[in-house]
Amino acid sequence: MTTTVEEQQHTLRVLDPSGDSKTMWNPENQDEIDGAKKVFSTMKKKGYLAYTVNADGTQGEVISDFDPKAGAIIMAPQLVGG
Amino acid sequence: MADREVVTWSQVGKTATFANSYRLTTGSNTTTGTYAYVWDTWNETAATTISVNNNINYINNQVWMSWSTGNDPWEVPRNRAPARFCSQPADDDEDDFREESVEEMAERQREAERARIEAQRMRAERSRLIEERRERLREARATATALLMTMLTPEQAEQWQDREYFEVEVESGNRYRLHKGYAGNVRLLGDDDHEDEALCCHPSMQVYDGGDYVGELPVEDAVIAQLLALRADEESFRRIANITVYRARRVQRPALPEMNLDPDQVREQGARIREALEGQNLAA
Repeated sequence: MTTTVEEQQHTLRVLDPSGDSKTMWNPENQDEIDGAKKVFSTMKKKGYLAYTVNADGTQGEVISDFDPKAGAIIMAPQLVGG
Repeated sequence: MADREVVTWSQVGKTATFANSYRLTTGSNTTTGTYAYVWDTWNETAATTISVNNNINYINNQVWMSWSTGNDPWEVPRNRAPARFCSQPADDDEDDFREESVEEMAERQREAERARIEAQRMRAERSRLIEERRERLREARATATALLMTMLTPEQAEQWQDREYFEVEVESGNRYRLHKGYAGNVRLLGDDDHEDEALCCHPSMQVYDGGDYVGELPVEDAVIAQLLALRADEESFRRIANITVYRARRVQRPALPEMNLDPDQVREQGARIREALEGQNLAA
């Protein structure tokens, strides 16, 4: 069974004032992995938290390091008490 | 003649000159006379003695100075020689007095027109920027809503669309209701679906890139961040949150051990206890 290009694409979404910024990478393309990893590292330095999302849309776990095999990652700002 | 006369704001900006009397010029026509300005003429184009079309060349700047210094702006000493137009400082030297020339008046009017056009342009620009910002926010909220929908079950999505909240059960068994909002929008539900607590824990809504303000996080993104954090680590969420208790939860006491007592055995035991007590004659 062959997978489509879209199915091969993994996504990293960062919540921001535009809604969210999406970065996609193909796990078989090192350049794309490096690009996504750079975005991940940048946002982690700003204090963002990273959560994996499973293929069925359910939430995975909190990750501290970029996982190129993760299907979808959502990065959100840290929470503060109000 | 009185030492002072009342002048009106309607004269400021018009072109009139006067000393003890007034001189009005309309084109090439010049008329003179004396009259009292009245308050009714303020901001009105009609005047008791001055036509709106009259080309009245300004006023004693003492009036303007009075305005800016808090003095009575309506009374101007008659014996003060009018100085230049109100933008210039007061000058007591009568020798400096001269009427504004037609050319100067025309230039002043042109300058006023330029200022009016510039103000109009700036208002239009401001309106355009405001509308652009609103459009960006609309698009951002649509994007954020689309992402939120991918994280909800069909029931939760329906709740969100109908009532602008949805309910989620976390690992501990606690159920939370997440209302649409930035702060204080997370509620802990009791068994009867009553909102027992309000939890205020949210991402910072203003987003900065270094020191530069980037924009505001859409409210739907705030809810996504809260949902992710609640599901991942409820304990940390509750530790960070500012919690308002609406209804204290009952403390569950440990259940009593079950006591399976045979009634006959209880009666028999009671009889033996009574015999033993009678033998001891405790009543005496």
